[in-house]
Amino acid sequence: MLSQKNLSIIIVLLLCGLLYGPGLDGPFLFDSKVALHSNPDIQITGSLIEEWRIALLSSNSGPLGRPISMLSFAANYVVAEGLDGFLFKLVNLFLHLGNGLLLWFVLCKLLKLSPVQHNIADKTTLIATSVTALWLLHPLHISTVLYTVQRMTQLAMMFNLLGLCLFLHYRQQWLVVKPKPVELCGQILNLALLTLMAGLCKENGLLLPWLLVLLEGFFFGYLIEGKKSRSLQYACYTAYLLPIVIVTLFLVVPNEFLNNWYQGRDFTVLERLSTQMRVLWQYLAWIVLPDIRVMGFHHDDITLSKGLLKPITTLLSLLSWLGLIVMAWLARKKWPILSFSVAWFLVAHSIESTVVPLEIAYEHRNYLPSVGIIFGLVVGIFYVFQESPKLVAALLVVLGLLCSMQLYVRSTDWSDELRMASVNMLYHPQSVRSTYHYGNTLLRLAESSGNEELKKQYMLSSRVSYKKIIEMDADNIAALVTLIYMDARYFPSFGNKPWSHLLEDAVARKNFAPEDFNSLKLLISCFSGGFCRSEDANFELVINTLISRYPERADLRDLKAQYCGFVLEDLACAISESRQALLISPEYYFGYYTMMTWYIKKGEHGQTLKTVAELVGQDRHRRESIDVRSLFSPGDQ
Amino acid sequence: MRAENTLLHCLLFWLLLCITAWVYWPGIAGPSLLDDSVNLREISQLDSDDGFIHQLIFENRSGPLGRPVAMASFVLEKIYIDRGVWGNKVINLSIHLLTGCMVFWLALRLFLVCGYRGASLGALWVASMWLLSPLLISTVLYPIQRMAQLSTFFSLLALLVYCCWRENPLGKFGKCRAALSLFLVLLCVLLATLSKENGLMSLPLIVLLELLVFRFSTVPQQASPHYRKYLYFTAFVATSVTVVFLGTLAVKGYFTSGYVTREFDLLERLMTEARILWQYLFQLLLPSVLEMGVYQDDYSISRGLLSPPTTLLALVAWLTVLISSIVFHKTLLGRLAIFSLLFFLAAHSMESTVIPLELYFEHRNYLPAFGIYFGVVALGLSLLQKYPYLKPTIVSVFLIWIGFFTYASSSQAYVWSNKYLLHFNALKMHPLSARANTEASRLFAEQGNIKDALEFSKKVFLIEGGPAMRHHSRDLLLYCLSGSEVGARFIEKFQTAPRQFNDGRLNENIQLLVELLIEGGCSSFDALEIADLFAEVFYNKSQQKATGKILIMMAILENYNGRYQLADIYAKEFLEKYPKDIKALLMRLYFTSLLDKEKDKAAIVEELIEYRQSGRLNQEQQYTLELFL
Repeated sequence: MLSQKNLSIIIVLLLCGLLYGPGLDGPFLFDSKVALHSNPDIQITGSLIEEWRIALLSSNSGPLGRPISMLSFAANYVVAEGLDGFLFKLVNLFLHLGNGLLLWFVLCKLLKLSPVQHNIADKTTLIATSVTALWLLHPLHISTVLYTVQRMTQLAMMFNLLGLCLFLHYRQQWLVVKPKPVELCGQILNLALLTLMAGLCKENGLLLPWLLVLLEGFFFGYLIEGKKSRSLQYACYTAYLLPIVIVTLFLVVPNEFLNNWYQGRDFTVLERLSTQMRVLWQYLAWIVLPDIRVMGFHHDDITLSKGLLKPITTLLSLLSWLGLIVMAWLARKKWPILSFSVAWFLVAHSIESTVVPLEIAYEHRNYLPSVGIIFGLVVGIFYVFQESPKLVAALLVVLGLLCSMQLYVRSTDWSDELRMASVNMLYHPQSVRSTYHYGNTLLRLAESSGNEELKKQYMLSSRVSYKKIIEMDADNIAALVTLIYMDARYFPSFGNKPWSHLLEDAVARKNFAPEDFNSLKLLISCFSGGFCRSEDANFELVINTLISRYPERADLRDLKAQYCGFVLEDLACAISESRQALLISPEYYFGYYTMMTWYIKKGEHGQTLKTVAELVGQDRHRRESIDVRSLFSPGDQ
Repeated sequence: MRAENTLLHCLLFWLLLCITAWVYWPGIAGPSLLDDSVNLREISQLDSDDGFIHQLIFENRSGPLGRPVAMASFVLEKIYIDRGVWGNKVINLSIHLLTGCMVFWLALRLFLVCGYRGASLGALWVASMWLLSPLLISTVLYPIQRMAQLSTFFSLLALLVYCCWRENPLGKFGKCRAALSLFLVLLCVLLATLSKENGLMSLPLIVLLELLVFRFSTVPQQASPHYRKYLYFTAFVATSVTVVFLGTLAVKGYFTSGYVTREFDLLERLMTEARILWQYLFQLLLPSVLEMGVYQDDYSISRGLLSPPTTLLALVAWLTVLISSIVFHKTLLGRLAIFSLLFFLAAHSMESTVIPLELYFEHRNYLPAFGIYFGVVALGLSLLQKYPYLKPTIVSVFLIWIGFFTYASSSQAYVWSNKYLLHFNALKMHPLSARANTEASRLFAEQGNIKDALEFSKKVFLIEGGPAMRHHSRDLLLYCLSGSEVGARFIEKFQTAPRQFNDGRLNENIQLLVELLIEGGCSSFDALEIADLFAEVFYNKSQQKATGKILIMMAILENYNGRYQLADIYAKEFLEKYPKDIKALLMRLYFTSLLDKEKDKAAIVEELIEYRQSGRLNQEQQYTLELFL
């Protein structure tokens, strides 16, 4: 027989599964396209173990390469026999439910510990279930669960939660019995392994030790065998202070690494840090007061803080965070859960929302941090209204309903790419990325549509969107290139096309972003497909400007080689540019294949083989083995 | 003694065999290498002629005993399967899996004898590490190393039979069982030795097993009063046989004569091997596949204790390890640690000590690897026994370790699946390997890139030095492979190079070139011109006589050209050097018949009939002779 507490969590899990249902049909988005669609290494048959090995290594994101996540994508591809968005998202949903279950276990265990016992000891399961339910049903997590590539975040959290479970299991025993040194070492090793596994899913999984230190401080009070261990306490303080000191020194002492790190970003480290003060408040508001009208896939419309008073909210945010931290510290004994909740939120955000030069804001960054806030919120409700259980129930039901309804609406929005893109643009009209996403979706729909009327309608709307982007950001390279492409291919009769000149100005001024690179590839295909002509765009000028601005970028040289080879059909120029690309970066593997293309076109098999030898020579992790082998016929094996 | 959860572990072992096969499978498509062609060429031309089969099995010259068991396996494979290199590798993989079963079984028996709980789990770990060790890829996917595989298989079987007998010395059938067991042990040792000579080392390994694991213990209720004496006697006999065999080889100069053609002397070899053994050990435990491969001829030779300084360090480290393991011999774990290390060293003692073989080959670890993995797992099981709550930690560590082995082996097996991948990867980590550069030069030549092929060839010359004639002959071969014309300048260089014909590589190159010419593999060469060039360089204007191999190749080339007079001259010249060579006699018989040299023909026939009567002609040669009678 199922107990009441088990039944309640099962109902929550089922409800969550149902509400996410509509969104499972949605498209692959943004980085998912890079990590999955444009990544042939995960699109495997699964018959060779080497395919799996290479899939492990196939991510270029993050310093650890996220191999576990990539392996899960490859497995998903093999099972689905293709890039079936539904199955990929279904796995994400199961991971979300699994994480919810693990969270529930952790909370049940945690709530039985001393800091909450004297107040609400008899309601531990109810609190745990409420926190889990609100976390599972929170509409903010749509952009983690239905944004396929964020399985990385989900897996990292799963290993973190497993680590917390393990820690709680042993730590509770050590409250009364002192652990033997070997046992202690064994558990430390287990936790280290889980931390490593979490880090190999996504780097913020490496925060597990700091989360454990939080639990130690707030829930175990450094007690071992009933006595307070000073050495443990100091070790925990050191664990927190040391990274803070190191990061502060890293920021204060001028260093080349920091400058290089932020190259290619439109903000400095100080601007990022001050903007994050405001963004963290924004995140907090989204968690506490879920409102899907302010949520969205892109948040590039958030204004950068250029100084403490630009905008003024920067200073206010900074002061309010400092105030909150001080209050949390002072209240750590009286209201430990509330202090814990603030600390958890900040610690869990410490990698993605501080010095690392990532983009400013993404909702999925709250997947783990939101646990702390929701936990604090629910415990707060129980604590404040402990005399009126009905009011507590009513509040929780209202919150639950609010989350569920918004989750369902958002999930439905995410079920269709055009609908999602329109909603994003509607709620974030100043977001260039949302507008671009909308325009791009329309363009793709137009190109694949068989209905001429609809095609024309989509195409015109798309063009309007891109023009809107240029109005917001005249230097938007991707939008300018797309306009050149659209006008050349679909609207050749339109007069007065300033895009080419604007593009030439933009490449001379603006930071060159990854999406800009893809757009230039589009331009090459436009030329090689015969749609674009030299009067539509001066590609040579554009690429030469970029090469002179970024002489260390091999991919730009490679792009020029492609232009020479595919558009101008000048193989000497193509070979020379490809050689330059490989000289700049011998580890730019793609360049070797481009080079081989030219030699094969010239019929120089000996030179092709030499390029293969060079590629193998550079391929330290043997990522290219399968591709290299496929260059030879079976007779050559 | 019985193990716990045996069924589960047997199922897991079955899964492990499947994973191993999956990991190795891509490598099956790979090429043959180095010694393969020399040893297997004749087998590839085999038909069902009994006499010829006998010759192939018993007349291999790879070792002093001829390795007939291994050769028989190749011959049987040719007769019944005949799938070329692919078939060779499939059989090798099957032997690997079978040997893996031996590893599992032996480890299980040993852990049970030592009284470990979780013995079957331990055996599974040992088998996993051994089956998936990337260092052993170059044994399984290198066809001719079936010799090492079979030798290991029979050695492990000998140890296993010995173990089973020692666990239950008298059993149901009393002394008959004991006699049968000992007979089986000896049979296995014999088969191991006849597969490859280091199979003989299974005798000292049995002694080690007795000394450190069974410790001459007896089961009181079953043993006769003389039982312990029998054990001492067995150990004594095993040691004596090994010593006598090695002594015989030493007296015959087998250990010293080979140093003449090597770049190192005995002392240098011993010092270098001390370092290489450490390298093997690291590669067994923490494999770095990038450094692995068959082209290890760039390994630096120890010229003195401090040149390089790691020589001294390696020697001191080995001594320290051995002394410290003796200190701990009173505990079970200590004894097993000694067993593990001594097993590794004893199994290496034939190939990694005094015999003037090449310095470094990974396949030499096929048997020694068992000792190391057994020792490591014994440590894990001891920890598990002492601290049961560490089980999840220890199991996780082993799983990650085995996962890493699988990862590394997958990469290595895949590299072995294609000759370009294999050679270019070798070149990446061994840029100073003459062999890797030679192979690269051939690959480039095959693709028509003579410029880069000659660059690699030049590099080989700079690395290995040696007579200029060797390098010119290699360049000539590259011109042939690439289909390029040879310039007058090169011909002049070849003609004026110092005559130094007694060089193995030069002879090999000439042989390959002639074979290619005959098979039509040299589109840009005129066979007549090349024959004239050879005549000028190796025969007419040469003070020094050409070697037998070159002469016979010249005869073959002239036969191809239809210039039988010249062919006969070269064959005759060859016979002056090797008057009893039957193949050359038959060749000359053919030439003299064509040239109507009746007198010479009659003399040759008479000689061959004499050989036939003394039983020196195999069946195929007898048939050939019959044609001329």
